[in-house]
Amino acid sequence: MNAPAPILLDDVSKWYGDVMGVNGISGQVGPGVTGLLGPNGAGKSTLLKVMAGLLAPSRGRVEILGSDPRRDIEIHRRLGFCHDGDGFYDGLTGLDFLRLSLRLHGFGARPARQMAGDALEKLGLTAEARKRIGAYSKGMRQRLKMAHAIAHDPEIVLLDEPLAGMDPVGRHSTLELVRQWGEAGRVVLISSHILHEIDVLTGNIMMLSHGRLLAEGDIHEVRDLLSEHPHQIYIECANPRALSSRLITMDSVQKVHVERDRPGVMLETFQPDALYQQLGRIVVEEGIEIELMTSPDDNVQAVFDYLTQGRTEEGA
Amino acid sequence: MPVYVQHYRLWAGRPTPRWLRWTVITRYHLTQLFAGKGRVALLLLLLISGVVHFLFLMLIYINANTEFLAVWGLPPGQLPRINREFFLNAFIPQGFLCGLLTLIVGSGLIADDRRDNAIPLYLSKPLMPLEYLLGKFGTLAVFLLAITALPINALYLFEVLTHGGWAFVKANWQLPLGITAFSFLITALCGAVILMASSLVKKGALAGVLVIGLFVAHNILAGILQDIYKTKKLMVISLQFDLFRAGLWLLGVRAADSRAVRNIPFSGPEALAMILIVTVVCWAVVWWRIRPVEVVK
Repeated sequence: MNAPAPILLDDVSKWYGDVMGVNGISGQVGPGVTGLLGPNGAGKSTLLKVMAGLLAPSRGRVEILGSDPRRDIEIHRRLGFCHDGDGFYDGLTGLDFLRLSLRLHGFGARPARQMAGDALEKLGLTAEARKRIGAYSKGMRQRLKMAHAIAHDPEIVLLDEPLAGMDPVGRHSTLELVRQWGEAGRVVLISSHILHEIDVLTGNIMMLSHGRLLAEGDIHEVRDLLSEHPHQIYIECANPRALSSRLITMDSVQKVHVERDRPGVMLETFQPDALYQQLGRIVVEEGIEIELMTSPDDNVQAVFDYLTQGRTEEGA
Repeated sequence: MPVYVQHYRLWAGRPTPRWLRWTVITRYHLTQLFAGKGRVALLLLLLISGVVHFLFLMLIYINANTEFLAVWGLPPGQLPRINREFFLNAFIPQGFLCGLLTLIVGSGLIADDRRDNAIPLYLSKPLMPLEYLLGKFGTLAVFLLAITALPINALYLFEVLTHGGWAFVKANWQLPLGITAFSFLITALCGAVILMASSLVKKGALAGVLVIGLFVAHNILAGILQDIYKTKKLMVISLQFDLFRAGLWLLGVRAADSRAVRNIPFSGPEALAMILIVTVVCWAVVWWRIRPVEVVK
């Protein structure tokens, strides 16, 4: 029998008066990194706050490690939340802020000091540990928020737009850190409205739009399920015209287009697996040297665009 | 990554007792208050309070050693009697200091968290909203009880040890309970009012202004209503009269011993009920205002 998922959502809805935050969201989040994606106003922050027990769902049920986070207060010891707001005491140093947080989590003075130092080190803030938070830059404040979320070494980490305001180097190191947390066996749910940020981090996604869950699971599996949209495949080779003339004869290929500005062929197919098999044969028979093969629409942005296309058209 | 290389393990240490966790907030605020700019004002108020208590202590001492009066050429009859009303009188200057301390210590307790958007930081921890409020209230309670319950009970003890002896204890055994209960009543009322004001605004100074405004306004209202209805019974609206009357009752000051009891036309339980109603209403407002997420509609 499978163990229950660490995060379980059952028909979760949240309304702010007449305004819908999220509506009827069901799903589960398991160990590793999962991206919570959607444009601004999609309901990502609301959903994370409901998961963190900061907001009560208007309808439905949230279970974190088998408990309701609003009833079982102790579950917060195993849950780290990096919220989207900028909530700090500017007069405190980064170290004191984390120590206060850890004491509230129930750690004694000594482990709190040790763990606060460790968390600051992980986020590259050791040199700034004794500076007042008021003197921190936006990127440093973001990293401190992340340190705050993981300082107590939680099993589940909820990160709400943690990359906002970070410089490219900070983004890269933060993404690497998030990847490590996921690989270590933690459950990490990271939200972003910049889809390609998450694309490089994980293929596991929850996609929201207008408060509704559009898709959940592995991005490639989600893409395969979008059967009304043919897969786009770009093949770069020395002789694209020869390749295209062979491709057009294949049943699995819907459309072939020789690119003008680059030496390659863009094709569309509803049967990518069959195509890949046949392509191998063509390459051997024709002696074509393929330099690059990518699927431009097998990524988070493309899937999101496909999923929201119908909705936008309906809206229009 | 395969499960066997996943190294994450939950911290296996022993957490601090759950029922003590709110004290982290109190200790944090106390540290901040004495590290901040307002520490001079705080220390000055505590010093004044100490001086006042020392004067009361001297009165007890001189009562026990009347030969000092002869040295100064004063008649012994001018000394106040050390009775229950004496201990209530010890509360009067402290009441004023309690008001100032409440404004200095309490006004920013929640307002600053609202300004800094820090409430979610607390409530995303294993901490209930009630514990959060307890931590905030505890900060103020430390100061208010330190200038009321602690020193006035110490005065009682001093009287017993230097003058009254066993006979005083026998006649006034319930006085320490009354002093303690009255101190907690003052603390609960001050805490409720200032935390309510603090929860309504995002600047500590505004909370202070709000409390002063409420204090002045409700006393003016009490005066106007008394004039309109020609009855002193409506003094019950004034919280300072209520506190005084409740203090007389809790400390067991009898009407026969005190003109104040005869002058106030409502009973101790009535005053206590009024204070409790105001306290409960203020706490209800605070409870309603403490939300981890502010919803802007």
